[in-house]
Amino acid sequence: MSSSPRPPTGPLLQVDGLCRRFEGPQGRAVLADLDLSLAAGEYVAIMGPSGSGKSTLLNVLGGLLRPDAGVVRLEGTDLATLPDAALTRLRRRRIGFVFQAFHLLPHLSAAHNIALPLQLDGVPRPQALQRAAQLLEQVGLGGRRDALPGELSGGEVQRVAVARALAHRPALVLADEPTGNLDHGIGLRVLALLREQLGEAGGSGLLVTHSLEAARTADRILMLRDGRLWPWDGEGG
Amino acid sequence: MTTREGLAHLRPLRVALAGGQGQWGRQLMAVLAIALGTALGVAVNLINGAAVDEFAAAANQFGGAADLSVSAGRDGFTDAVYPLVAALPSVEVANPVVDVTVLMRCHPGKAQGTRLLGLDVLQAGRIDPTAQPPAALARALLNPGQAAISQAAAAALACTTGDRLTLQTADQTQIVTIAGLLPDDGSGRSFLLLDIGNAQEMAGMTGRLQRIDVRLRAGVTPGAVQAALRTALPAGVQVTPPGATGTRTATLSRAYRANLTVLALIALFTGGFLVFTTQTLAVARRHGRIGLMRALGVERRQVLLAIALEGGQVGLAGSILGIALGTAVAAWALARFGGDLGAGYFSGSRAHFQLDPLVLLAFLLLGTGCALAGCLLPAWQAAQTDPALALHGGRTERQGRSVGLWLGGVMLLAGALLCQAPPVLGLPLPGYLAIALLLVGLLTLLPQLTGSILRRLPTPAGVLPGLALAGLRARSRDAALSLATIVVAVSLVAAMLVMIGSFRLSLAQWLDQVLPADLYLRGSGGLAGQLTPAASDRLAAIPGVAAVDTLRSRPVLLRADLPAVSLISRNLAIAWQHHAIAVVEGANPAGQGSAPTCAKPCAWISEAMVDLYGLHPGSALRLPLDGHWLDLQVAGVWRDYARQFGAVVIDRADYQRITADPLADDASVYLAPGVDAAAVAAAVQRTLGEDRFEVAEPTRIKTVSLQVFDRSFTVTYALEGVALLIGLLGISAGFGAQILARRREFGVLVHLGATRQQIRYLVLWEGALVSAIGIGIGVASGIGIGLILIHVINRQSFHWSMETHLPWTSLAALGLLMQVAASLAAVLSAREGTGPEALLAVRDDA
Repeated sequence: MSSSPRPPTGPLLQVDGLCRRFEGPQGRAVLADLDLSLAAGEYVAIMGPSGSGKSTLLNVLGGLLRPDAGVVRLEGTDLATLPDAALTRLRRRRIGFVFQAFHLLPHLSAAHNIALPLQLDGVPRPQALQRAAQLLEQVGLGGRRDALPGELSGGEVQRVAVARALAHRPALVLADEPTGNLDHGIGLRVLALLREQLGEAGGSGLLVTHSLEAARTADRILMLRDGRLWPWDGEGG
Repeated sequence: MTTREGLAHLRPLRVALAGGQGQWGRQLMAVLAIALGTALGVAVNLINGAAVDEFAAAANQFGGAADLSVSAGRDGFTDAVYPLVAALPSVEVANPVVDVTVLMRCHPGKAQGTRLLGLDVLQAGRIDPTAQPPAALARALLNPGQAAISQAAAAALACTTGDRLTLQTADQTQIVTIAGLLPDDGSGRSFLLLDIGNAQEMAGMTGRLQRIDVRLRAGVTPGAVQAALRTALPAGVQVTPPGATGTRTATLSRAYRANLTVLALIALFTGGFLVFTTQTLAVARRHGRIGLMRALGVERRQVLLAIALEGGQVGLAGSILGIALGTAVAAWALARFGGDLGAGYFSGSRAHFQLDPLVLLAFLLLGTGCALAGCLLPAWQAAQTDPALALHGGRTERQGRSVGLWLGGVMLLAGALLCQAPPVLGLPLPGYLAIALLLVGLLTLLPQLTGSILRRLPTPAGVLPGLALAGLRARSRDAALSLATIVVAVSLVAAMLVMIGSFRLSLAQWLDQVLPADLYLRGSGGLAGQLTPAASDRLAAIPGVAAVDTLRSRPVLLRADLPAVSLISRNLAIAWQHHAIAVVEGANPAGQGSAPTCAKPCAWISEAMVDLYGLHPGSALRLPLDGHWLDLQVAGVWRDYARQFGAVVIDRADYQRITADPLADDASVYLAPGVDAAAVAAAVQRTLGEDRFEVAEPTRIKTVSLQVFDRSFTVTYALEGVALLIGLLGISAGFGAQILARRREFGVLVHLGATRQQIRYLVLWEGALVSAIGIGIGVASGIGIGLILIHVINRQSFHWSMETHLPWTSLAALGLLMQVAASLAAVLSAREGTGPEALLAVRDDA
């Protein structure tokens, strides 16, 4: 696995004046002049009402959508300047995703699901599976490496998904409602695990959630409202 | 909800689902596939129906209102039978008939083979009013040398009243005077009419008749008269209802028509499959909408009905288009090629196009039914949609059932057993059913078979091939659905390749064997084209001719419901010397110095005689000939690709000893070494007359025969191409449906850093793997079906065997072509799964 060296100074993620409209000629501006700065190792939660653009923001930060205006820099690299292939490579090596619906491939075992991003990046299967085994131990599923997702509980599946997001030692993990499909207690344990693993790996995290309790596990909380991020004022959620 | 309420709610549901099917090209192809099958079926049945009607009518011409017909095939019977029949108290009218073809010439120029009809001109009208010449003309015809001519014949021969017409038979030339033209009855029949006595003399048939048309007195049942006459008549003379000739005529082409109809049904079957895959894709596209409709209160059966109606519309549109197309093609083909599509069954008949409402209705129902059947499974799947899951982009997973395993197994076993069954009503219906069961059984087993193959494949090293294989293993049931059309298409094409390849090779080898002579002579122009002993002597005396094997061929009617058997007499010593008879069973004296010893004269029967008459080497065989029974012993069985209703070969000496018939119809001419065949052919025609005989070299006969063979399979080749196209469209639609269902999976891969290129490779690997499995299964089942076509369908249809020849090169080319095309089709389908929708599919839970 190869990863781009991070510049010694400056924030890990710097977003300036980000604008993005929904698709279509009359598309509403969902992100309008949005700024965000995320330091290395920082773990930030973003809250906001439905339709406020949280998922759109994650997709832009993950290089899956291009901004209509503004600059998104990850480790100093302006994502807008990268061609599609380089953007995909960067996502493959420096960004990890955790989804609300887990999105493990149902026909692959837990270990193979975790190994998949590494293999897509050219890591030989034995090394990828070795890393997957190591991560499964870390998330407490060392004995379930050959289990298919259908054979795991919801919490176990999301722990595998967390392990998959960390497999390639990303600089940034984007978690989109990772506890939305889990029981309250299990959800909090998964978040704790995510936080713990990120901390061990030295990565940063951006958590999108509706749950204030989940958001409180982060270093700081931001509200997405009217297309911009605002510091949480301690009210609502 | 009542049925009426259900139907009332169907309209808004259909409006809600309309327009979401997408891929109008595929929908159109489904309509066209149904249209093609329907058109072929309609055309084949209309054309052959018209031809059979016309030919049967021609065969029964001048039979009019006859209740019974006394006949004995082409060579007729002694006219001593006539008083026996006419004297029966129950017979009101008995009209003797001579009906032959002779060469006629009115003016210097090329002579034409024309029908010579002899009737009792004074009472012909009592049987058929259209055959009755005007009274004055009828009286004139009683005089020797007088004839009446139909308008069509007068136009063809450029004759008119008072002209002298030359009639040429095998050994005599006669002159008649045209006493008058017959009134035009609008039938377009071309013939020369003589009174019966004059006709017998002019045709060289003194003392013989071809037929006696009988009208019975009121209240007499034909069956009683048939029974009474049967014992009184000489051997081989049959008493049948006039329609029997038509039935025998129809029998001639029945297997050919049945095979073409089955081909049309196969086209419809593959069309139904295309509807299946298209509708599966259409349902996959509208999964969310269907879920919404279900959530809004639409019942499962309404969804099922709505989707089924879409298939019905495709079927109805295809059927109507097919009927229009088939009708147009039938009208055009009848005018252009005649009623047998060039197969040679009805040459000379003038079939007229006419619509048969039953045929049209049958194919309307078949076409619509096929499409409906094709969309039943997707409709059922749509009806099972879980609304909650569908609204969140999920899919209702179908649980695998082991029911397919034993059901498929039973179908395969039943198919294998049916291959052993005899034909039904003279048609290989069990064989066709066996093929259908084999195909459906295979399709039923396909999920298990595909899963089993996928599980046994070693996991490849690369991430994408490995991912592809793991995905396919998990979705083997869906993969099998994608495979179904390609398995069917490849099976049918491979089966036709095996059958046609085997048939063509067998025919070529057979032609090589049965045509050892340097030149072949065949008579033309009816009676004029017969070789008299004098003509045979002249032929043998031509410089360069080393030996001549003359053949006499006589039709012998053994069963009233079957066409006549050919009794062939030839110089067997020459034939055996040159291995000219393809013996497949029993005594084969080829290359030996002596013939086998038989208790009666030895006979070698064709394979059709085994199938139709149950004869085998050692069997006694009685043939009615010229009013006597000819007792023979079957010495062996030979392969005959020329006569599908049976032939018997006996030695010329035996034949002449029994019949004293000196004539011959064909001759095989062997030349001395180094003699120029073309020069001798020219000399033969100079010596015997160009009008009366055709001379051909064996290479020419082989070439023409194989050209005719290839032409008769042209429709098949075209349908093979269509079947392959349908197979490709099917796999494309199948993959399209799967990829739509897997957009979320591809979206996750994009999130994980997979490039679009990698996802396309993944789909390519899956496409290649699935196609390879489908093609492998298709080729294997195609070989199986090919063997059924060779050894069951063809044998029972045409009563000849052939050697099995597996055309590996063609099969490999077919496999390679389909592999490349299907893999490409899969990759093209992947476009829909790798677009922005994939990302949306992952986002839809946030």
